[in-house]
Amino acid sequence: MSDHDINLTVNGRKVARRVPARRTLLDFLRADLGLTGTHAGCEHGVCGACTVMIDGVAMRSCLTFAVQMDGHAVTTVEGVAHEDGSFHPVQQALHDNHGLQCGFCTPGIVMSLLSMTEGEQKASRAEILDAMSGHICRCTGYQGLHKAIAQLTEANHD
Amino acid sequence: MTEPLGAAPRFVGQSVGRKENKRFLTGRGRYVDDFMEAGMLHAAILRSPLARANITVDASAARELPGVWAVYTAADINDMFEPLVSVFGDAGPFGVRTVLAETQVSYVGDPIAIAIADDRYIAEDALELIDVDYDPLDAVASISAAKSSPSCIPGRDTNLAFEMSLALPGSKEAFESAAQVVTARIAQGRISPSPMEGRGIISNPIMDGKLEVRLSSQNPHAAKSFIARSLRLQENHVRVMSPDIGGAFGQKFGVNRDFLATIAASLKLRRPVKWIEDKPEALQAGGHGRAEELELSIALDASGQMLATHFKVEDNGGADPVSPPGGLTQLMAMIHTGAYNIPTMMADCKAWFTNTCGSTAYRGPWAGETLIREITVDKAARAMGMDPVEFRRRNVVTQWPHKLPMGLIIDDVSPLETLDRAVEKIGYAAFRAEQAKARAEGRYLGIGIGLCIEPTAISPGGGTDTAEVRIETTGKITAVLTCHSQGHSVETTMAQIIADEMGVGVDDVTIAFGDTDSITSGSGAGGSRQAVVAGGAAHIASGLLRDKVFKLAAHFLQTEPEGLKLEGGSVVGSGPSAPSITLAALGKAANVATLTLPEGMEAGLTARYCYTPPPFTFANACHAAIVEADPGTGLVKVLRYVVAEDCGVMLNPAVVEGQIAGGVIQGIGNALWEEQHYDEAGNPSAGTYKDYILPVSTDAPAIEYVHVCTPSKTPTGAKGVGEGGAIVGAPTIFNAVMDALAPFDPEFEQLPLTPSRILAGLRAKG
Ligand code: FES
Ligand code: FES
Repeated sequence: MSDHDINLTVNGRKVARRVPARRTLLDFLRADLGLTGTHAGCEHGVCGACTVMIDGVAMRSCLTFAVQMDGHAVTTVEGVAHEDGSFHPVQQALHDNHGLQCGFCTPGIVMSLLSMTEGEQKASRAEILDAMSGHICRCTGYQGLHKAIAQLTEANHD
Repeated sequence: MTEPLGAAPRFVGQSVGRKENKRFLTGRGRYVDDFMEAGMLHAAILRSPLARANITVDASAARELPGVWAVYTAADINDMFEPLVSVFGDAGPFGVRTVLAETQVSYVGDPIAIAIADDRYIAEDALELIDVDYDPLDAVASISAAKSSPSCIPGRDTNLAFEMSLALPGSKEAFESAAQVVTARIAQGRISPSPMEGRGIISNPIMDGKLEVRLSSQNPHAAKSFIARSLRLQENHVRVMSPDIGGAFGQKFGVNRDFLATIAASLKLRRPVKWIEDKPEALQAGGHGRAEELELSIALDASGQMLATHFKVEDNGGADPVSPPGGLTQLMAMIHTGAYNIPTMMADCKAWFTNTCGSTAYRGPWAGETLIREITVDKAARAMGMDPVEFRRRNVVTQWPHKLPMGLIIDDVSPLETLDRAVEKIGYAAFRAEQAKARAEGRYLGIGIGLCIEPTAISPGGGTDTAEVRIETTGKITAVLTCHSQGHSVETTMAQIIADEMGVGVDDVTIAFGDTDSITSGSGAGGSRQAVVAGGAAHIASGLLRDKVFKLAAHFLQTEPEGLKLEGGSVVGSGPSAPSITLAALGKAANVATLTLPEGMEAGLTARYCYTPPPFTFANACHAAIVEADPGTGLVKVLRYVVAEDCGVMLNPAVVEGQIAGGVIQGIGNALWEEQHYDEAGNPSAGTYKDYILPVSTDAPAIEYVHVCTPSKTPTGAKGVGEGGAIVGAPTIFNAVMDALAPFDPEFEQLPLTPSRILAGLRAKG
């Protein structure tokens, strides 16, 4: 099994590490960098709990190898709130609408919502609703999530 | 003592934003897998791929792998344990009673060996090197196979685990004289509780023979007792800490064999060892709920009045159930008549051991009684040519308290009101016209009703919870409780109760729980108990603390305690001068400047109350759903879902609705998609969450609520609300699908109603 040097950016900070080829990005973030906000749900690509943003796009860290991240920028849930600790609008919307209970699925949901509501091309409400079917939440029955999406897309409703 | 003073409650009853959200939304929650200990090793567990086989195990090659610290088999660790019992301490019978399988495996997923290594990757590599020789035996995978086969579990002489029969006076006669007898049957799909966080443990043997365990558990106190008893340790040498828990739904009440194997490894190696379940393990070996076959017959007179019932249940306990199989079938029999006037009954309950994963608690573990009753009630209405709502109205109990046939007395419920309100909210009458119109266009809409009385805060034989509330030197309040949270929001709701009683803000109150060293024994989370029991303890303890605060304040204000009020963080006297003193000043005096206290007064400002609730606190609900079913594809879409529920005083309506919604969507999953099916050889159908279908956001209708409030006779007036959604969800959807497809004369006797089952169950052309 080979080890590889990788250089990447995680939540805006430069990181240089040596990783075994088989180490997933999920394990790398959690165990090597101590960023335990990204959660191991199914580890087989179904639940979305492990979602992070890679170069601004939501991806599943359980299906990504750390070694693939050389030269890329990763954002995790720890990197979402504003500098002063206040909520990003995505976090605020989930809070306002009781969009979480146990909180285990929540980081992944935050990252997917973030990737669809930030940047130039904002997704429509329908697109977001559809995309969020890639996240399993066993607690909430998705009621708060639907309301949060409505709140986030209020400005540009379609 | 416990009456709120002064102003009406300010926080209880409000949808106060959750205090726990901040850490969860920013990635700062701390679940078991997030903890690291110095020197911590990682475990992986080898599981049987066969349902039943004799085995010989050779782990020598695995032990040689670099990075592997140990590989333990039954021969290495089983002697460390007493024969396993249940976490509830019941008398049995039990299935597999050893931690690792010895000479025979008993289901797919049965733990055989545990490998301990520097990291999980190496531990899993080690599993590949363990050589197991399997000599396959005939598996007993179903209830029908269990009946006709010799014992399939080593050490047992029969597959029958439990049997109870009863016929109350007049029941046989009622069936003989009935104008009509209606019978329905349903076999449930086996549910994997599927919390998003798997089971997990870090076992850490610390100094002086003590053991510290971080455990994903609903009830760390029960876990502590169980671990100590199983390992022959002194109970107060075991500390269990359960941090944030990523959902549990009943599954995390027990302490499973996997946990015990991890503890044994840590004790032998004298190192902290972490084991985290992965999802294929959860599906195979994490315990299953609802594995039962149900039948109900209702005897009716010519006017459609119910005369008697005959309730039958057979429970598939699997190989290593967390509690003796069949125990809950007695509760099911006792409450299965629900909200209806049914004077007498018969019951036949059985439970079996099989070569399948052991049963575990799952959200409303007795839910089968409501499922089969509500299905049979609809069938009876059809048989009588009556509308299902009218039929329910005719039979529902309206006089409370009401004594069930087996003697349980139910009070403080409102089934008729919830029925009426649900029917009104969903627009039942108008729907029938819409349904007829849709049918003319070839679309099949249906409406389903589910009516239920739910026993909550079940605490026969005690079941206490304790709250210890104290005022810090700053005047802020800390409360330690024996409740727990797997998303239940108790950090918010308990703070609401205490804040109201103490005249402070919710943010002034900090709630702590989950560490067995920090408070006496209690019941944790389970059985929809926290609002009632922990809430009751918090309410009463706060009242006791208030009395102490007034006594101390009276000393400083040179007045009498009577007539003092707590407002805005201060004790305020009466009269035009309204003298006052802050809780901060009192906290400082009581905790630090103790020489200023009246002579003989105990220092500190702490009150503690251990609350014993009534054996049952009953909630009730009526659900109504509209679905569209496609007789061409067998697909079902839930279009509307109404819940009219009476959970007494709502501590926090958003939390209440959140609990209901989560349960309802699980109930819909139970009805339509979720199933871990076993073939005759005992192979489970779902290896991953690609095969076990959990509801996703696009499956979830917007739930519409009606809240009816009949307060319970407990300190908060609340009732439990954690399980009702899951209990009533499945029959409501089932009845709606039956109604939608009525032109096809459907017959369904197996959940979930997958497209192929729906197509197979249509008996007429329509
Ligand atoms: S953990 Fe990656 S999708 Fe489930
Ligand atoms: S909040 Fe528990 S899984 Fe979503």
